[in-house]
Amino acid sequence: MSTILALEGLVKNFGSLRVTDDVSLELRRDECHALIGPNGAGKSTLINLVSGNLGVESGKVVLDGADISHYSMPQRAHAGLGRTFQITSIIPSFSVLENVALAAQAKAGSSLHFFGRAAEEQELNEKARSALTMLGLADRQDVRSADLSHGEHRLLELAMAIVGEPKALLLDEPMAGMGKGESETLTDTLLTLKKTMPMLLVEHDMEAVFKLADRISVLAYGRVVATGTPDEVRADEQARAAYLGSDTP
Amino acid sequence: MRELSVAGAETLSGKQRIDRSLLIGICILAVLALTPFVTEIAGGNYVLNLVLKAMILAIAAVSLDLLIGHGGLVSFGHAAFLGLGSYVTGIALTEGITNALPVLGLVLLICGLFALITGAISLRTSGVYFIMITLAFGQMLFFSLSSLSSYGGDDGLTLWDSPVLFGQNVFLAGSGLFYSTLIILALTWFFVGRLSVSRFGRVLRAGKENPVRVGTMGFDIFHYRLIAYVIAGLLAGVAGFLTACHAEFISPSTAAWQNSGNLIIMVVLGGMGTRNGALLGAIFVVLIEESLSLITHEWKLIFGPLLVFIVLFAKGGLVSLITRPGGRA
Repeated sequence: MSTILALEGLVKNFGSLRVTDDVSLELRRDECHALIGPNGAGKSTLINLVSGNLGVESGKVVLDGADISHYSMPQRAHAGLGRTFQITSIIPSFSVLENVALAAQAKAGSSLHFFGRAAEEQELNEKARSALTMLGLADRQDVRSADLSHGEHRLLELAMAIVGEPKALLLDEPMAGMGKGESETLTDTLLTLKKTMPMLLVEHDMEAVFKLADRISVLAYGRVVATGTPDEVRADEQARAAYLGSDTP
Repeated sequence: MRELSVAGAETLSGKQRIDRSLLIGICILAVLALTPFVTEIAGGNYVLNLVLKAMILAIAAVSLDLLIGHGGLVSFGHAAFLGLGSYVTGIALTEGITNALPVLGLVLLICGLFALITGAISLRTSGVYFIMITLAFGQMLFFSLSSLSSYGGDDGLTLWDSPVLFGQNVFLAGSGLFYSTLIILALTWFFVGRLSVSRFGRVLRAGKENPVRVGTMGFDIFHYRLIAYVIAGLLAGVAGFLTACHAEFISPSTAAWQNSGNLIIMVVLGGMGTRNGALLGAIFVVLIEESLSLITHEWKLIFGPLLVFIVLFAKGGLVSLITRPGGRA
């Protein structure tokens, strides 16, 4: 079985609006599975349902064979889910290094230590530094993270998600607001990363999606209308109608 | 290589900053330690008692800063633990338990339980609701203490004994109590300072800024906050124990909401979430209240505007005036 993450019949309503309508899809161990679809199709909601930021009405989330549907958000993180946010979500007053070290701390034994200085734990700092190095952010490690540029915030966001070496990575528009050059660099980094970390990717940058994705699912009105390889999706009538339009790359 | 050395230099300056605030704190404690000698020369217990009162409140303020400054949890019921600690002490003494160890044990046990139960409920809420619910629990305790008719009710109760530690009268009002309090204050100050930079403190501080992200990392912030709430309650309970020893009297008014407000003022005025802010704030508020009330009966007319002035012009609190502007101490 090569499935690491499976969503089975997920349903979510906001009031009378069904934002996630019986969504089932699977993420394989060695793939990048992209979710595309128009604004309001329910892509971010789906990520939130998987990560536990939102609760499902019905359906199951299965990670590495274990049903984690009833896990809280922190428990899902421990089970091996990592995620990034569409709108940068960091600890603004912490340094870049400390943000990532804190994320590493979550996976490195108990945090009920009341005496030692956490900032001087070299093991955590080393882990954080190697994640930052991978994303090209190492020389900014001592900067207060609130003072980073937008593009750097996006990278920090990602560093915090990968430092815990999650079994599956949920990426909610990692390129949002990035310049063309920045997003190309990030695409290359993600290409390297996906060899070791399966990822469910929500992204509007079609160039990045078609470069990264092994499979693509098209979401419209909360439903999966098509799933397939990039070529299959490009050729699919429904997918074109829902999202891609005529100027497909 | 160059990058490495730059990073190294910055870490060093960060550490120097910590050392500097450590030094300032030690200076404050050293000045406090010298008070009895000065007052002996000046020949008055008045100032000694005043400083003792300030130190006891400083213990409560430092513990409150763990919640407000580091946890972002504005508790408006912290004086409840002062009141509870002093009542447990008073009742134990009245019932004939004079050994300080069991008395302190009872104080910790009961304050810890009270913190655990009220914290578990209060921490389900946040923001203004957290302020209101902690206020409500504080008032609940205040009225409960007022209704203890066999222990003085509204009027409070005079204590005829003081706790004894290994045969020593270290908690008898006077210089014995002064130094015991100083030691407890120093330990509290050091402990909370270390706690805030520990693994635990780092999670707590991160949760203050971005609880959702901290949750996604895998920390259940509720548990961390509850532990902090219990620790703060225990420390304030010990301050309550010392309050009873100092006043040789227990009164429900110790637990009143005005007292909780006073503790918040100390923390905010001194500088929230800093190493020495709450310590400095408590001493400042007690001394300034007293000196102003010597000048005029209507001292609050001066104290009020003074508070406004400090909050407006010394962002980061009094502690930011001692250290360089904008620096954290």
